[in-house]
Amino acid sequence: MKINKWYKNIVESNNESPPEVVWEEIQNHLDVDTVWTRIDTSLSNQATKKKRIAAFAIAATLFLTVSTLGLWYILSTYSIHDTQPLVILEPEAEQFTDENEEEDEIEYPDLSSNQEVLTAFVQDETEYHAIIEAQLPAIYPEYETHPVDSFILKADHTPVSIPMLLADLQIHNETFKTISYNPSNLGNQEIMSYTGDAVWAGSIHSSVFIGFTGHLANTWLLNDKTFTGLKSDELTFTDPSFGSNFGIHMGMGVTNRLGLRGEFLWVSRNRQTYREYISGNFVSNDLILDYYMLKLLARYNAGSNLQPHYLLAGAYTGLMQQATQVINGFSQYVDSEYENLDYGLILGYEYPVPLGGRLIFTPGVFVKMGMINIFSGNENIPYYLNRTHNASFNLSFSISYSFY
Amino acid sequence: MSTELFSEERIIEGCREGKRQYQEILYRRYAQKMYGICLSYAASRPLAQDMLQEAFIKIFNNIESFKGQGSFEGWIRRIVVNTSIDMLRQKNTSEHFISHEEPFENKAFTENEALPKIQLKELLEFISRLPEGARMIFNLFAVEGYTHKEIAQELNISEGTSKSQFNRARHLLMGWLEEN
Repeated sequence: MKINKWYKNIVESNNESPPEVVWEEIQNHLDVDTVWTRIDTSLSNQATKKKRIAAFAIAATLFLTVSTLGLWYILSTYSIHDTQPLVILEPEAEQFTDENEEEDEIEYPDLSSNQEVLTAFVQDETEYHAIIEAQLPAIYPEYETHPVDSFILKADHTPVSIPMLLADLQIHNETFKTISYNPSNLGNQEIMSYTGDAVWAGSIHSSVFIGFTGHLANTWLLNDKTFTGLKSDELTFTDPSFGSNFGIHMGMGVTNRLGLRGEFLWVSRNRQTYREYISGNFVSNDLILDYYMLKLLARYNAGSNLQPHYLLAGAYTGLMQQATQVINGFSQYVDSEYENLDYGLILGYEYPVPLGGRLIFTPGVFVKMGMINIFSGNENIPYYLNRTHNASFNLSFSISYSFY
Repeated sequence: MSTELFSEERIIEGCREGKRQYQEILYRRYAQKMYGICLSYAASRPLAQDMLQEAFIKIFNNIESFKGQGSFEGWIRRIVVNTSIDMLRQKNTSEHFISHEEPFENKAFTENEALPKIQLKELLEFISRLPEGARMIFNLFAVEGYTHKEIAQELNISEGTSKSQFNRARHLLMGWLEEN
């Protein structure tokens, strides 16, 4: 039957798709049938959301702890074994040698006159234990005439004058009292094995600094969709997303342990990438939120003055620049779907490393957690059904110039 | 990625769990083909869309009953065809759905002439002019491969009526094609 085959072929090779409204009507019908199931699921999602956020907080804490300890260990190792020899101090025209058996205390009562009284060398392979005593400002009366630093003098061929040393140590002339050497007691005293960089680092805490900062951030938009996409049996996949931040930062020491640090980031990007099923195809869906960001952090020096380790805590506020959604390369602005303002909390750790001169390189790790729902809703989803919080794990790298 | 990357088993399992995304994949995979079948029964797009919608709702609500024996597409197709027939029956409850008039004379008809290469949307013009009963029987016989006995059982008519209506439909179609 020729016509039968002809007819069947035409019917079965139909290339006309039904209009989308058919699928929408099917969904509506199924929605009615499953409305209670959906309510039930939604209610249990609300219950599990708290658990998820708690899990995120635990993950963030672990990230911070592990990163902090790792960075601490790596950089501590680096600073002990790979630092420059310290300054050499020796009265002019007088050489200190290993043969000096007795303690030599040299007093410089009038350092404000800028006399360059110490510009000599120490012989090679010689180490001296030096103690600097200083008359600290009156706000620290308990430290009056306290040895503010002691360090090992290693052999070097670079002459260093007292004014240079004071500048490096950032000790005011008027607070300086004595420098004493005691080569013979080396080994008998409990001294720290630190060197020039470490001594200089000890002064970072009290300094005022300004510089540039950049972050590499693993960013998250925390909402039900993101959490759902982390399950292996779902069709929406949440992919790891990364953003970068760039800006300036500045800070200062406030007390012996505490300090303040501020950041202004003019590039601060939070993004979340999904692979999901939209209208019959799997597509990549990239949400990109660009902010101006201001951070204010309190920092606590958990290390010594010579080798500071900073624990930081503070808050941020972000002002939306633009929100973009890129679906399979096609981008559109979705500013109206997201709040203009975001704010939240930050925890972090930093380890400053002096680069020489007055430059400081500071790597750090941070966790940032937004406190408000940044999704303001759209024509399909009201804001309260898609509560979304910004969050990120940041690796930060800063270069600063220390003024004081 | 396309919908073809998901195995049939995974889609069925997802649909059994009531997951909307898997339901959508299933729909997207079969909708076009099944829409063609619905068009051939309905001969109008609005009715075909209603048939398709109703059929897929039945599919999703009854997917538990698919036990994996036989072709999944065949199972879907059967639901689509049955739904289409049911809807046509409901539509014509007050009308004389299939005429039990005298068997249509099976005139000698030449099918040697080349049939035109057309698409379904062009064929729809002819299909829509067929009487509904004859159109349904022609579809069941020509497209679904039913025998006249099976058609008679399905539609609760005699085999003779089925044959007569089929011939009638074929005769009309051939005539219109010759005219064009």
